[in-house]
Amino acid sequence: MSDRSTIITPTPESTSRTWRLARKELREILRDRRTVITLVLMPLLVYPLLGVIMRKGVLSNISLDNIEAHVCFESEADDAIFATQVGYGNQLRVQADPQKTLLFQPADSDNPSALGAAQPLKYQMYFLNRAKPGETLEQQVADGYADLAVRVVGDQQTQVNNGGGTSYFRWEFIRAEKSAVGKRAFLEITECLEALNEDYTNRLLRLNDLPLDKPATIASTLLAARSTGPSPLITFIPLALVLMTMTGAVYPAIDLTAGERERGTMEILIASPVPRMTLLAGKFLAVLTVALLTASMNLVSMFATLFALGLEGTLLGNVGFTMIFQVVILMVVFAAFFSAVLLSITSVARSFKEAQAYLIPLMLISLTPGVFSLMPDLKINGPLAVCPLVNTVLMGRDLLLGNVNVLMFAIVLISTALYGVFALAIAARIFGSDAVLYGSGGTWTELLKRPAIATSAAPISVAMCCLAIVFSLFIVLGSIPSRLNTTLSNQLLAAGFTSVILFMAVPMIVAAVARVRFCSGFSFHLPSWSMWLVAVLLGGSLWTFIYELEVSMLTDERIEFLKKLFATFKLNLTEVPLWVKLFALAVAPAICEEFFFRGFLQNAIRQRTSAALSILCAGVLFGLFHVIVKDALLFERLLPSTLMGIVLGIVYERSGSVFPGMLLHLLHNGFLVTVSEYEKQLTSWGIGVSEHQHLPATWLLYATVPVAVAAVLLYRNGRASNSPLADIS
Amino acid sequence: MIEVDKLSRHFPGPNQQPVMAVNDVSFRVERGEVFGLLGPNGAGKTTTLRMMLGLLRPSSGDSRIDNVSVAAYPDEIKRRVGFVSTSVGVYQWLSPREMLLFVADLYDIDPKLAQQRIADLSRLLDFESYLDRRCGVLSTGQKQRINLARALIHDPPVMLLDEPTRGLDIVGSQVVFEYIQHLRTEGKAVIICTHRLDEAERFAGRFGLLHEGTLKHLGTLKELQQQTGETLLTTMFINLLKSDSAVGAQS
Repeated sequence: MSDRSTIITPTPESTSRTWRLARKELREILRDRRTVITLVLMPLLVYPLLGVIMRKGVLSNISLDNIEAHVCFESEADDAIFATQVGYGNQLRVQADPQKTLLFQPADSDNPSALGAAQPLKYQMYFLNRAKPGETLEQQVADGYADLAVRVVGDQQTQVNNGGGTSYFRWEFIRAEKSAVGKRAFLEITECLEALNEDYTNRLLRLNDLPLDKPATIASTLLAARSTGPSPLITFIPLALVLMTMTGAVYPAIDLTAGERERGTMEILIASPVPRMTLLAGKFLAVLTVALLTASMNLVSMFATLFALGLEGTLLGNVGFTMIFQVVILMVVFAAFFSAVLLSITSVARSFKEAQAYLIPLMLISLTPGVFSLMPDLKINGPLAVCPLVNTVLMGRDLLLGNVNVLMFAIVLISTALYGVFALAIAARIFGSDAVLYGSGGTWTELLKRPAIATSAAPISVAMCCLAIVFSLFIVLGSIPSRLNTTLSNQLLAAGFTSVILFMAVPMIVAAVARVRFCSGFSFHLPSWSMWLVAVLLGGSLWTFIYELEVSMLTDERIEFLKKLFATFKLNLTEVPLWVKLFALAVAPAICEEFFFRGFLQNAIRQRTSAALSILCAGVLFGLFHVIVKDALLFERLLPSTLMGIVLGIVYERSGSVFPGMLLHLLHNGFLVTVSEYEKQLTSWGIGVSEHQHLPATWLLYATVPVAVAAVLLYRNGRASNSPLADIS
Repeated sequence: MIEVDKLSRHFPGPNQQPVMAVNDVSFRVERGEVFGLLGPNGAGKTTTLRMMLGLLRPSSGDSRIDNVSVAAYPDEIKRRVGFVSTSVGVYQWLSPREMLLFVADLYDIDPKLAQQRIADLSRLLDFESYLDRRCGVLSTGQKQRINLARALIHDPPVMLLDEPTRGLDIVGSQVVFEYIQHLRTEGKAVIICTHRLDEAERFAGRFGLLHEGTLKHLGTLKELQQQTGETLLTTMFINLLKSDSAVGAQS
């Protein structure tokens, strides 16, 4: 029967359809008032509310330029005495120290800020008499109605000693223990009253012709703490931002997956000739857009609240374009990651209710590391930088404080993006599958079970899972060898061993769990002889161009920076035997990295995409892994390493085998190691290869010949395309 | 035109025993023909349609439309089929016009042509008056008209109708019957699944009687009458169910 079937060449799916799908989803979401409430009203309410709470209770250690204290009295007479006495004390205080000024507002004034705006003041404090009839002062303070209560006790007897009248009062202050505003008002007022006392004593001394000097004068200097942990508030801000972004994405994610299934509209999409991945991409874009809109609303509302409270200078670092740009990038990557996670979970649910039941544990699980990251002394490091959610909150805090580590920032972005891609790959496997739509696989857990039949190459979801694990371990394990308290040779051997674990052991375990056949899954095929020749030709010549490219990208400043950086590493490579260097820097990386990047990863990506895209993806990932070196980001390595990755990818694509790439990579690294080993000899022969000098032009000229021959061999002798489309046609 | 060839599908049942939802079903439907795939609830009608549309992978067998295999090219099959089911809903926050334009886009219909088709279909199915109202506020019958139009927006040569009158009142059902007549005059191949046997007798030319996943009888009404000795489809079915329960009782 199959021989009668018509053969059709599928037309490629346009990306504009994804945008159109997303636009339709957004139109539907934004017409729903529930989304608008989450999107707009929540942020507008939450942050001002939080701001009020913060100001009332938490800000005792933070200097405030403008505060408003509510002070109450038992009677109008007390109010009048307060105004006279504290006002006079204030004048005396200002005379002694012009920096200090205290304003207080009489009970009948309606506009306290008018007083404050009249002159530049360091402190502006407004006392509002807000006595509440029928309640004791203690009750009013306890209820939070007033920040400070003042009781004036005294006989108001006036003594005439020196021609002027002096009144004697006992001042009683009542304030709540945890009220920062109450405390500040109390300190300001007592300072004014102390000024009165001081003035009185001085007048008495002068009257009796006694010296004003005192037996002990006191001066104190307050030293700022050497290292203060960031305020918990500054960690709370990114945590709140992260939580609100999550909240914004939850509703559309449920609505566009489980909600559609419940309403029966999912069948319209699944019955249309649009690939499931395109449908999912449209939904992902829509959820991401809503999440980002929510994040933006939160960001705007948050900053507006901080500025309104006058806290931006105290809490934040230098608010500038770079900081805002970095925060936005972090939010975009996090929102993408969380949208993908949400879609992968809600795609499983059959109804809105079921999706909510799945998401509540997720939100609680997410909250735990988020709260954990509120610890003020917690500093971001390798393991924390690859820990989802914690990394975003901590990085958000560092960004807002303005002391961001670029390496950690890159690690947070890359790891979060990789987790997002992994979650999206899982979502693609689940979304719209008949197992989920019609329960044909028994339950959806069947999808995540080990497959019964072995596959020839890893599915995308498995490859992305492996990539996320390898990257996280690369960050965590990668720095261990250099920290070992042993010789440099042993450290290098340990680094080689780490490569074996990262790029060979981990993918092999993942492949075994996912039941991927070893030989085909890692492209262990014997290539044709011409491909070996290509490997030798490129391995012996390509390094000159890659080296030149890297050198040409270095500025003088960058060279100085690198010299200093490598000086801190204390790498005395001259004492390391050549064979150790060749093993650790050429053999191990060549075999292990090719095993993973080409044999496993590019192979998996190739099953679902074109040759060009698979080469590019694997090449860029290869380049990114090479940018992260110990404690620094070596950006100048990105382009040369990516180009090298692309060349290796082309050789892999044309040979269908991982072996020529291994040989090429080995020769390439081996030549670089050997050249640096014999650097002195080469320099003595007049060939400058040290300190980032250019290679002789003749070397480059000679190198073009083998590169050209290899290119011809690759073009003519490579295997036929093994794309899925080619198999069909 | 439509060729269903030994289509089978099993689902995992209790105690890991597979349950055969559809078992070795084969039939053909030509252009301009209305084929009634009949059977009680749980007979395997919907599963068969879903496999024919490429929504569900068959355990074995294949289905072809114009010699295009659903197993090899599910998206190409979807392009050629219009699918109507009462379980399919409408977008609550879109108007019928917006929804139909969106579906037309899914099938790569030019927007201008889609507008023309919407105008034609809204006249045919009489929903011009609420073309720009929100779908969420429409009645069940009105929503069903939108659904019928939705399945026809890309002018497919094949129509699969799964219980199209379920939940509809007499007026609503009448609209569906007229719609099926229209499809026949348009020369489309139509497969209609229903357990309303009396209705099926009115508009289907040939029938497949499905019971417990197996096609028990296949042919025109006359051929079925000859095979079973009964005149009405309803009686044929009752006998079929009785014979099954008798076999069950004996065993």
